[in-house]
Amino acid sequence: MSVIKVNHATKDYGHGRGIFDVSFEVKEGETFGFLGPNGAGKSTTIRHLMGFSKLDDGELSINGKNSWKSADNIKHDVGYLPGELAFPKGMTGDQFIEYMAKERQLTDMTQTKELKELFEIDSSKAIKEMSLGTKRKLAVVTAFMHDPKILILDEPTSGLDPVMQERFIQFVLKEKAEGKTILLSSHIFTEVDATCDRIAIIKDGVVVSTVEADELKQNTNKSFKIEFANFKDYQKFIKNTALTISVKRPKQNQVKLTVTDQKMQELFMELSEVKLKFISEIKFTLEDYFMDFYDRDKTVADGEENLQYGMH
Amino acid sequence: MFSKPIFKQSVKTNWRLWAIITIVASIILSGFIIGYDAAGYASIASAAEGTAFSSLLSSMDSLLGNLENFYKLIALILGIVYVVFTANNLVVNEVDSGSMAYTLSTPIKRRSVIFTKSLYMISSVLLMYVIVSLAGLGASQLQYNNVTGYPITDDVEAAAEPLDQSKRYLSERLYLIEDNEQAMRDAAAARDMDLEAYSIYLTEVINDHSYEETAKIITDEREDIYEEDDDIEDEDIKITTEDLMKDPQMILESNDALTAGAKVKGISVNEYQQFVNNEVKSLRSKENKKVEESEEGQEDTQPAFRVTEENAGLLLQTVIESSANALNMNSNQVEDNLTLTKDPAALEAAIEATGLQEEQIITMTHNTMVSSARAVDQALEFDRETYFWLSIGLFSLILAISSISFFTSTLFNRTGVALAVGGGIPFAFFLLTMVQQLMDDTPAILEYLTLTTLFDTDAILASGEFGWGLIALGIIAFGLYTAANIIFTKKDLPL
Repeated sequence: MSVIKVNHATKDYGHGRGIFDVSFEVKEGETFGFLGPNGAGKSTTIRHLMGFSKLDDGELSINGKNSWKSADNIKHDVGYLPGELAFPKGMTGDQFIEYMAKERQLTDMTQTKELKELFEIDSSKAIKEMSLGTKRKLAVVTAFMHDPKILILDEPTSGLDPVMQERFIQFVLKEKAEGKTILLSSHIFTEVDATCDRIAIIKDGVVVSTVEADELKQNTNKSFKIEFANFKDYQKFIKNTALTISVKRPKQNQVKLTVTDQKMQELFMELSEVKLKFISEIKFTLEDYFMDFYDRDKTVADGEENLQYGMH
Repeated sequence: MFSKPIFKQSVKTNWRLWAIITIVASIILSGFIIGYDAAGYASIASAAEGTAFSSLLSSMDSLLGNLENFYKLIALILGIVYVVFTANNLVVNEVDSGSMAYTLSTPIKRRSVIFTKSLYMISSVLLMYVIVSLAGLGASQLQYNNVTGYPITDDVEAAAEPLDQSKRYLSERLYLIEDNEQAMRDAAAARDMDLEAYSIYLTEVINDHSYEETAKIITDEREDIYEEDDDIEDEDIKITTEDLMKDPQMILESNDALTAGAKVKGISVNEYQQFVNNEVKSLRSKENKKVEESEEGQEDTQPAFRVTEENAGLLLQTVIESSANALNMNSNQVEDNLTLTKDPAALEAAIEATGLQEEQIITMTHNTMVSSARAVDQALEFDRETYFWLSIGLFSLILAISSISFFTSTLFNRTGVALAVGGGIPFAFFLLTMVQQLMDDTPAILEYLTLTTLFDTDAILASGEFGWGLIALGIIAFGLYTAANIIFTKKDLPL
């Protein structure tokens, strides 16, 4: 069952800014990554999901309730971590926690206590005197104090040091294990890579690709870079091979090629007949995949093709 | 609709400015009241007559009139400072900075958020002006005792000591002064009068007070009688002190009124009844005399010259100048202390200069002294109804201005824009009002450009028509607050 539905969501702010016909769904218990460079439309989509703004066209729903019309209602089950750390003025961390608890009509503070311990936050200070990292931790505590079933996280780890980033990823994984539905927007590949089941990539307000994380990890295509001992061997290999060579570099006596697991044996048979300087596997990561889209010149088709062939 | 945590948070972030403005406004209003120099303003106002300042000073001849500049300028700018910054803080600041996102990430309705914030804005303005008005009331009561009783004038203050009575006690029993020679002398000196003039003054004041008390009781009685009668207007039921002065007969019909009147004069009810009877008689004989006079024409046995309303001012001036010459003094000194004209040398010079008889000159001097003393007393009177409407008017005006700032605070998403529009409009109103208050001839169109025109202090002070202006201010406030509430629930928030 889909918990979060984004259906042809369009909001045009003019000058090419906004989101255009964005669609995706997050299933119950799924962790969904929303990846894209700054200004691509991640926050805009989430802002609309939270009911802060109204779409020009399309429909958004959480738990089957319209994000705009039932904005207050859906928040019972949603924990939202805003991207921007702008707290109400003149409060200490504890006062802010108390304020948020009252607004949520929350009486059971055990979850709050656990979160405070997990992130080692000293919330007694005035908020304006807190470091960026402490503020981020404070936002995390108040976003999840009511143990929500759905987590919507907008750039959750920016401002956290690597240790805390890791702790946050562990927290997300723990929530995921508990069966929470999570929408995580980020431009940091590692955290998306580490946590998400599926990933949508957004660029200039358009979702350019939606991929299964496993698809990337268990890609049956493998790419290799091979350098031959000399030009003669290079020529010999090119002449005799039955495989498709994607890149040829005669000057360096190098080739790049992609084979499926089934053809691996064939490749090594052919290679045994020539002298090699080295062979190395070109690992395909999410980052590579993402960078393809990040590059403005590349079209969506190019990216899809690369995913298929794992070629970079 | 109402959210307690949001209201609490609004108080927490805005109470400092509220407290500062409330305290400053209270202190300034109290200062205006305590520092009011009734005698001084009366003389300045007459000196400035015909100059550019006269419009500024014309209203200062009474304690409440003196407050006009407080209400129209000082209270206005203080109120503007509070509402502009608070309105900005409450909404657009939280939207622009993004902190509204935290509030809206909880299951709270936008409707409740904006309703609660409107409520904070309105109730904080209301509380501010309740406190400021009470401070003014307290200051006036402490300084002059004129809110609940008769003003404590300088003579009462001076007489309190030899009589060994509290000032307030004495202000309600002025006849005690009449009975004590030392008290009379001290009191007369305190008002710059001699004994003769002061005793005329005191008798007049006591008689007036007795009429005032009886008027109150007769009005109460009439209210009971006409309670059921819808046809008769409140104005017609009310019996004023002036009504009784013209026709004291009414007092004789009410025992309670007689008792109250007698108490003020410190005499028995029978004696008071006698006094009223005498008043009635003397009024009748005066009327008869007038009729006779007009019938007889100008033939009379009185002195050649008579003091009339038209020539009194000129005659007095001549008396003062001739007295000053005779006494070898500056005419201003004589004017400040008219008892000097009773000096034999001065009198002689004055008789020569005016052709009046000695008795006439003395009477004229007495009348002048008594009436100027009475003018000062009148200036110190505190009309609670007028004060109430001035306070309501100020509250309505600031409330209407707050609705403008609150509206722009919800309409715009950027603090700078909201502050420029929501602060610029009220400040323009203030500047226009300042120009109107300080300059004599301002183009009439200015009146239509500022909301402050709807708070017509002149009309309130003169008991004129001011109700529609206040109603209009209320309608503006209601309209803009409602619009702000609707806009906020429908708008896109850039959070």
